[in-house]
Amino acid sequence: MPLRAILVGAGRMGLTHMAQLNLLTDFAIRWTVVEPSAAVRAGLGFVLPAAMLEATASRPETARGSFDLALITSPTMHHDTAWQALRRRAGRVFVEKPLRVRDPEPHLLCGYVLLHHPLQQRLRAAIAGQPLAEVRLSLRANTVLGPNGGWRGRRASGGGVLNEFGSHLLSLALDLAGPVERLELVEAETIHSVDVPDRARLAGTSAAGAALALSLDWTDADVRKPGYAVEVTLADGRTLAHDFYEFTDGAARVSIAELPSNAGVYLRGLEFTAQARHFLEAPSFDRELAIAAGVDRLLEQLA
Amino acid sequence: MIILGDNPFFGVNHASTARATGYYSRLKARDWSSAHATMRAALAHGVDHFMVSTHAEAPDLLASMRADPELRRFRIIPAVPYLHRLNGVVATRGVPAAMLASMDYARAARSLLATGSVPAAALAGFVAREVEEVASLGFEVPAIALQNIFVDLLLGLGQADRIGRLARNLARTGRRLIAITMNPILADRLLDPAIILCTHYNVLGYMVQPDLEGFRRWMAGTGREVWAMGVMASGRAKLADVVADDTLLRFRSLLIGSSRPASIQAFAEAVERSRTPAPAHAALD
Repeated sequence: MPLRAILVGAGRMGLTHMAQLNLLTDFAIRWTVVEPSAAVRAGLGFVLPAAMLEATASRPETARGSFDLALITSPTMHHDTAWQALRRRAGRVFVEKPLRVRDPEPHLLCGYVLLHHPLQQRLRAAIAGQPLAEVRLSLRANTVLGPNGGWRGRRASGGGVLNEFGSHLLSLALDLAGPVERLELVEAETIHSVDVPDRARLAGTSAAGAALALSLDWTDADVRKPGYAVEVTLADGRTLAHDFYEFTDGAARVSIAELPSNAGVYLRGLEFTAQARHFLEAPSFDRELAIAAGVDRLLEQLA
Repeated sequence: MIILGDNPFFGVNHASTARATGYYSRLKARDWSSAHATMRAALAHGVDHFMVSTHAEAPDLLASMRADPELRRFRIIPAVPYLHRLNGVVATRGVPAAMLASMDYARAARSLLATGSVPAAALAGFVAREVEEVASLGFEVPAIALQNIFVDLLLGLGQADRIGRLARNLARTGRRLIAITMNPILADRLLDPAIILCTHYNVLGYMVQPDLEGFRRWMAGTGREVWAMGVMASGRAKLADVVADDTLLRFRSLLIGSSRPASIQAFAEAVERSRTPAPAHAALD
């Protein structure tokens, strides 16, 4: 018996998640695709064979029936409409980050994919139950190296380095340090964008008393692609870190290449497969939901 | 056959940010001297194929090779499409705009007439333009590789037949299609048997799917031509272990990237030794 799934938003990320789930289930999914653009709906035959495409709709409210899985990958401003339309009709719902829905429930997973990376999980396990002194996170990317007048460079459309990458950093901070007591924008610089920061520094404390320091720069021409650094200092002075390639615990180093890294199927990255598997198999998503809701609150405060 | 890969020349390393950043500083300075030295070491060991992603910087590297009488001997296997190049356009302007921006309209019109399908024509035109960029420099282009992000996305969307059509179109021009994939067993099941697979394999099992043992069982039984990439696990595997691995002998070609001539030399010599039958024992004479 094939699974029934609905995809809301057949863009780049939506199709990637769809492909990932097809690979993991060996194509045992029949899809309903919701896409407002008539042209895109008409072109879905190019994207998906007829045997895999059950129906199309222009809005989530008009899609018929119930679903085992729902993927909401439409623009952020439409997340809530899709969630409200599907929350009672889908067994598991995935929404791309940021969450931005009302009344989230534990069958909703928000796509903070870096939480599922093996080295982030290793770091979390290594510090579990120990008091933290400081959590430091940084992002360097070469995403914006010139005039950034499109949606990415505008506050009204949810652009800026804080929304694009800051949300990921905040998810990692909450994952490691727990709820945040206070977080402030210490420095913000607009270089290429219209009215949003291209560089930012944040500082604060967790509810448990750990200091938090975050820095973001998406105008860094010295890097080829986005790179993260995650560092935790424990109350006893020991420092553990990872950069999604290498895990360090004091002087000890372990490369991702030396750890079990078989995902079974692979598309885009180990963390994407791990997230998709979690979406298919976990009994509920309470922990991830608390993190996603926490990120929403922090981003609202910072705005 | 050993094929030279391009990752270190373009600031890519799958296991170390520090190494990638080091490579990238040379790339930014358009300092190809290290790449050229590695290439000369490769040629000295009979490695005369170079697989290169169509990065924005690739034409500059290829032009520097054309200017060198020795390096122009390389045969080039373009790995297309370079989706990261389009990523920013897709993110800011959408998929249709990105495809239009990357297409040659005259070629697209010809593809449209040939395929009768706008999306198929767009795909063919998209790939052809990037290949043309390399061929126009004067290099021999014996084969074309499709990037794994593209192959695996199409496989996941049930579109294996589109890759098959691309392979048949290429065959008409005398070129073979290599599908780079991180999901080799699935690709073997779904893709036309004439398509070569190039996939990640190393003795550490790093990014080997579905897992090391499963991969080795499949590799022992498949009749398809398969190439390996990532055999040194981004520098983490020991060369002695790599060449002692029986599975390595089953690959028709090995794709190896390094920024150090000595590494290419050591790898080529070790592979050569491992593939040369040991002399018969004197007592048998």
